[in-house]
Amino acid sequence: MKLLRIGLGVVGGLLLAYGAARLLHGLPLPTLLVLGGWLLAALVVHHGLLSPAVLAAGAAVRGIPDRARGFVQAALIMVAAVTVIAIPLIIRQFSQPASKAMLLQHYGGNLALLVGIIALATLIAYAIRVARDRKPSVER
Amino acid sequence: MAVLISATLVQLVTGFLNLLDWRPFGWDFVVVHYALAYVVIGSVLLHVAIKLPDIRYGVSTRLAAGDVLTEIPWHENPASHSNAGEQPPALTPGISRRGVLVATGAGIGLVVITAVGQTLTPLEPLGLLAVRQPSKGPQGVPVGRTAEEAGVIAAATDPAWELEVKGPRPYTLRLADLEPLATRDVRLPIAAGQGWSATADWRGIRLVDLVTRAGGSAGSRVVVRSLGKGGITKAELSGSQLEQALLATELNGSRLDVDHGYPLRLVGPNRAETFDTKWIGTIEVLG
Repeated sequence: MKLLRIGLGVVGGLLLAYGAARLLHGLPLPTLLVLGGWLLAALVVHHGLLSPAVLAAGAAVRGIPDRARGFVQAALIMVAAVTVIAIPLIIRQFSQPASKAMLLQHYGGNLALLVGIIALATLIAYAIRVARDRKPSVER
Repeated sequence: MAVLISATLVQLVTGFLNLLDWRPFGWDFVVVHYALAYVVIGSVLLHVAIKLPDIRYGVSTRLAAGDVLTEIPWHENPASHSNAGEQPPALTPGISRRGVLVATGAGIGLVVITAVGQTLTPLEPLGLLAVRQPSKGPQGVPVGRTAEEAGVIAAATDPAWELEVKGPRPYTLRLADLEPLATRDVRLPIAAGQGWSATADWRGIRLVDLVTRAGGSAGSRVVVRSLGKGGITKAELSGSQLEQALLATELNGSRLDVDHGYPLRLVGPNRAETFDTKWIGTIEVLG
């Protein structure tokens, strides 16, 4: 395992250095500063917004009874996946010439529909679970 | 760790914004995306190298209380299931690790199903999160660059438009001369750099026929020039590209929309859409 770790570390370090060198050589200083700002902002968003939001969601579902909690958590994960894609689409909808056939939908409504589908599917899965728990297994 | 998080986040966000034709970051997307990919891959490998013992332990151990997350070495952690002997792990209330993976997969699956219709035509009606809906384009085909963006509406829709063919025997064709010549039907995909492609029925004139009439041949080099301004406004063709090139006048059974290159546009197999010159004004046979 030690050898594997050293190998991974060396290859990873070299790739990282190569990428960084490409950036430093390929971009003028003002652009590099803007890129640095974006990288820093990404860190701030991650540590200051995304992580706390996940922790807060975790704390919020703690009050839900054990059997239902897992289903709520699964639904929240799926909702997060579709929401993160939908937000830029909502911001940019109808911003392009119509003949490009792009961003021509009301993505807010579509997102609401998807969240509804996720909620319904989760409810059904939970109902099946409750029904199974109630019925003692007859066979076997 | 900080590099991994910030580079990955910037890579994902700018990659998606680029698909929306939205580049508020201002830098050359391709240059940065390409270089940053090395940074992301490198930092993932470094991260795995550092965390490998933890990963191995976490994957190979049935954990009840998730003691990999406590940062206490498992052999020093009395609550660790690994130290609890043969008894089965207590049931974790709430979602399990496997449950997290399944839910994440389902979420991503939902995004894929509701977005893939922009490429996979039969699934277009499911495209709730699709950026493009190809069938909504004029004549059922999306447009890469519009006539307005190319500043060409007036010139392209002018009834006095003429096609100028330069060569050993130069000539011009008016609209009325051109349209009866368009008798060749082909079914071809156009593939755009912005991430879409669309197959369509085209009708038009073989480029090589006009070239031959101007004194050239299938072995000539030919430049096709657009009336449009800005971007790529000409295409050079020779060899098999020239032999197979079509000067299209009709798309999916009707006269070309101005956004598709009315009165005349180039289409051909194995070409990127950006090189399919639209709003053609001049053809030059270079010998």
